[in-house]
Amino acid sequence: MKASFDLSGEQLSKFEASCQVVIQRVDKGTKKATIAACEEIMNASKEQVPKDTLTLLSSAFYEVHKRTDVSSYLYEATLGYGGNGDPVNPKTGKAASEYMLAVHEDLSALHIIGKAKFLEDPLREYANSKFAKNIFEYINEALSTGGS
Amino acid sequence: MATLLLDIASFLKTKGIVTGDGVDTYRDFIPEEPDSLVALMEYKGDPANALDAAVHRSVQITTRNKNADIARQKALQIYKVLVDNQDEAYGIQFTSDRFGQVYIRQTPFRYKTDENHRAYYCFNIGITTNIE
Repeated sequence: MKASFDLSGEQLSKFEASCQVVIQRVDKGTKKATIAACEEIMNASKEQVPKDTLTLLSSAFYEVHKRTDVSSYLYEATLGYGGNGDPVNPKTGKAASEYMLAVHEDLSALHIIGKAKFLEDPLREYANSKFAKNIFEYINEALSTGGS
Repeated sequence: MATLLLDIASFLKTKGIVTGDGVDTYRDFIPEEPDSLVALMEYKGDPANALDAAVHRSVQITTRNKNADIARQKALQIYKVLVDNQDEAYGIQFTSDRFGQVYIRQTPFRYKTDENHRAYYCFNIGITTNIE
């Protein structure tokens, strides 16, 4: 079996332009999906973080960056605690970044409000049940509406 | 089938890393004494899958010692015995009744020092295995 087709220079230019539009829409959709994922994970995490002086809670942050070390449209997110100027706990005098790891990992500690694994649990839950679906929805929306 | 944590403790005992459950190895709690111990704590896993009898569970392995270097070495020893006993599909036969696919989530790290100057190291693993 054999197939052949002819493309003029003008047709190739149009094809390339339409590919660029699709790539830009996927780029916008990916960025929106990454931000939405961070919002959802951090909102769940803030509900679970132990709340005594609210220092850890106030240090919650996320950042979304466009990767510059690769040529494709990739976004990466950093999310966690110890941000927002790394506030100091008024009871202990320690910055949030100095004790957040112990609070997160110490499964034997008792907390009146909140729990250990306050970031890992929401992150894993999101990754397992929502990540693929949400990415698909945002990309689909971006392709159909232009990502605006 | 024994509980998952008891099966892991038994596995570590057969490998000569711990003396035994309730002696230097504790499950789901960390006692005040002895200073030197290994603690196995299960925490939130993933929801069950209707198509599969196995579930994905999460376990934290903690070591404690007054000497931080000894605590770190013990955590590394456990880490290495898990890696060395994984088959090509990450499976480990913990006991005759307990098989699990083990996903080591990170290398051991120090997460706190308590008021008695004892260092705590831990690492977390995911295990796909049966539920008791």
